[in-house]
Amino acid sequence: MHVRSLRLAHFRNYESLEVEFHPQLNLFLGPNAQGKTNVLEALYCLSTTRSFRAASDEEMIQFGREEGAVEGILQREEGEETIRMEFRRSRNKVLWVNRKKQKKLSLLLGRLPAVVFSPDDLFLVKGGPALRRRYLDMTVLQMDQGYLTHLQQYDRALKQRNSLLRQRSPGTESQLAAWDQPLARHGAALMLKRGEVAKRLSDFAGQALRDLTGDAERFEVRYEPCLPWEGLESSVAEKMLEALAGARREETARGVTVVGPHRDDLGLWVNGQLLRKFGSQGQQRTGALALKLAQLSLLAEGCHTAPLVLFDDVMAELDEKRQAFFLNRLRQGGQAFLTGTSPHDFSAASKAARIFSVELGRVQWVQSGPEG
Amino acid sequence: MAEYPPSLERLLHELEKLPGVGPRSAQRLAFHMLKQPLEAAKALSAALLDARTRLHPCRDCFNLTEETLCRICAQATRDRASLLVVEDPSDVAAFERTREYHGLYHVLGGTLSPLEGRGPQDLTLDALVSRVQKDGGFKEVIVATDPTVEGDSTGLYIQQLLKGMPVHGEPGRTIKVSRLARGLPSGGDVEYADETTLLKALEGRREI
Repeated sequence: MHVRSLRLAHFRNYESLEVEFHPQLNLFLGPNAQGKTNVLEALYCLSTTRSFRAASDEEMIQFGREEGAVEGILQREEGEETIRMEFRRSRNKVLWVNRKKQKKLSLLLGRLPAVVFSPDDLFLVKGGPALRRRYLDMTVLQMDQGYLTHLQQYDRALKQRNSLLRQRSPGTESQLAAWDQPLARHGAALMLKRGEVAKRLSDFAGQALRDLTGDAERFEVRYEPCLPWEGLESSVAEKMLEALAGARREETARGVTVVGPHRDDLGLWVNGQLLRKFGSQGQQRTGALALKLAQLSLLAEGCHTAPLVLFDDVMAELDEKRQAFFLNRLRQGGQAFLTGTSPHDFSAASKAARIFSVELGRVQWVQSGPEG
Repeated sequence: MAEYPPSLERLLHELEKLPGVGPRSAQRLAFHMLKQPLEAAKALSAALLDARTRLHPCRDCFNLTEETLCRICAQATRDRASLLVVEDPSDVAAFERTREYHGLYHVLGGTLSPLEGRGPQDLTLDALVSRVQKDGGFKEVIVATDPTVEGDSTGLYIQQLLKGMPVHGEPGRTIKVSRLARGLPSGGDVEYADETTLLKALEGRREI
């Protein structure tokens, strides 16, 4: 499966854009701030209904416009499929599949899996746990649609419960118990799924790191929840209820829920040492790459199709050996979209790719690519 | 700003306050009403005023009524051992349409929602408890709040409130608190059901 063409209307700096892609390798070249990443962002919207960098959908609507749209034509084995996402200011976004309006945005998840590689990936290693939870969630979401419901309901119960805790009024004690139940039930489902996926990610990330470094560094991704999670869902929920009961005094004093998967983390360990604390800048970068490669492998397996690879300004950071490694990896399947400022950043890749130049919101073919 | 004469602006402004009505629907409604004869507008405003002034919550169940008791509470033939707890009066109407439920109702007036500042005191929960205690007779309380996080939590809260209350006249027996089943809509398609619904339907499966 690949994206055959992309149309943008009032999206970021694009008044309108229509572009046809190469089924394998696509390269976007141009100076900074011309709209290269915006193309990757649009593709990611077709995959997940949202941006990988904007805090809100409205940021993606062109300045001064009320609506913006992304439309992609996908070539699947069974035929063509059109996916269209419309973003509207202060209104809900709308998804169309094959010109039919869809009620559920979640329908899109897993249909066109995608993995973004960006210089910001370093924060996966160096940054706070929220980024790692998001990485984990975005991985699970594309493979398991039931996960979304648990995530949403957990979040809703958590917000209600925190609001109650903040009120600090008498009588909240008896109400708290009523919110503990959904929190524990959905929380347990989240923890089990996260734990299971973290294990698979750890295997793939370990392999990726060995591939990248060529030696026997041991990379481990450990799921680190705030309470024991292994076992049956009902017993995990039971444990979470106990933990909530045990934390009641602290929670009432602080006015916030302190137990649950909203405080989970992923521990990244290289040779038994915490990468965030003891890794060199180079090791941390490699670790981040390995995490993304692991996501790529897992999604390929879990979605039964090769994910899109969106490579935002990363090639220039890699040495020749790693560039060659990635190129080889990309050849093994999946359509790839790479951005960069200079063709020199893609020494090995540029021959095999369709090349576009991007300048001031205009995208033009420079080279058609093999059998293009 | 004022594109229309003041009286029309005022009408639009009032219509837009209604749930689900945006500027466009408000315009459509307003222009439709203005095209009708004056009698139609008078009838609408009279009906609105009449309904608003005559209707009030039923003394027992908080369903809307023009009397002290609503029609259901006043009906001698209802099964007074069963109490169905719903969020809104419109839910009562929905159950009545089934013609299969013959018990009594209790209208909560919403769900618990700390985010919107709604606590137990904002619902008719005190009345529910005293009704079950004093009224006697109830053997089962069925919670029929919406299948949302808020609806579920409200159900759990009610269960806590009523747990262990004795059934009058039957020593040793306590009130049963139950929750509506969740699952597939009838006439629906298994393949088009979303994961949550399917999962709930699977959990709540029954032997044939």
